[in-house]
Amino acid sequence: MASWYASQHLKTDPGIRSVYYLPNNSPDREIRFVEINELVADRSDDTLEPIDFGVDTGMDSEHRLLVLDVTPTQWDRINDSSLALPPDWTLDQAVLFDNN
Amino acid sequence: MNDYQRCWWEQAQSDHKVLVLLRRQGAAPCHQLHYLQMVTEKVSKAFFWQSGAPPKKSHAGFYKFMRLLLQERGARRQQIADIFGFRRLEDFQNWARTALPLVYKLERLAPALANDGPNPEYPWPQDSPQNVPATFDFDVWREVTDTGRGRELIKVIRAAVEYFPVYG
Repeated sequence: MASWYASQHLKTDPGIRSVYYLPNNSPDREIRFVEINELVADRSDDTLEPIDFGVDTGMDSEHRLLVLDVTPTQWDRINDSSLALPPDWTLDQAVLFDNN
Repeated sequence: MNDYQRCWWEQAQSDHKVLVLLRRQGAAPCHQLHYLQMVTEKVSKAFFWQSGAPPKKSHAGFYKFMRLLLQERGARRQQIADIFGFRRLEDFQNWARTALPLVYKLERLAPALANDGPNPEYPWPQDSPQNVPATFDFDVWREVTDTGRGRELIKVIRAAVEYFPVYG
């Protein structure tokens, strides 16, 4: 499912350089993405929060998709720990999806 | 904020709460698009009531509202950028340049503007309905949910409602 969403987003948005799927620490039926996007604006750090989408609510396939959009610069800052991910999010065991 | 603006802003806030509920419940895109339009229409109307005179009766407005915000001058420029979470007005302007076409497409989905085509409320075409909003695959919906630009628009709309008393 994560792979399908990642490929849809990579296909639809030419600004997305890569998508990281963060399965570690995430509750059941929750897909967490960090998307590094060259076309999003460098916004204030306090706007760094994921947008959450409910999908298939009430069905067997019910799940949530959370997407955190970051610029390449913000991604660098996340990696050198000068910018924090949302609480409880971790890059441990992150899975990379990109156009390659 | 004058009393007329407060009326429209309070309704925009309530509509926005419903929009968030619909998104989190995974409601069909037509309902989310419908509420997206309702929120943007009402927050725009709240803004246009600034003069105390009634704005034109129309479903359009958010596109114009965004363009007016981008034309702010002086100290208001940075205030607007801050409110919408952008570091500088230039960042807001650059983002808006890419987002305005999407705003325009969303606005044109209103039944009154949709030219008897895809809209989130009524089956179309009117004379021989063949398409159902609840099952229709809206391209514009994918642009909102599957692109960074679209998801930023969701955040900007939230800020437009939440911080209206600061800039409206």
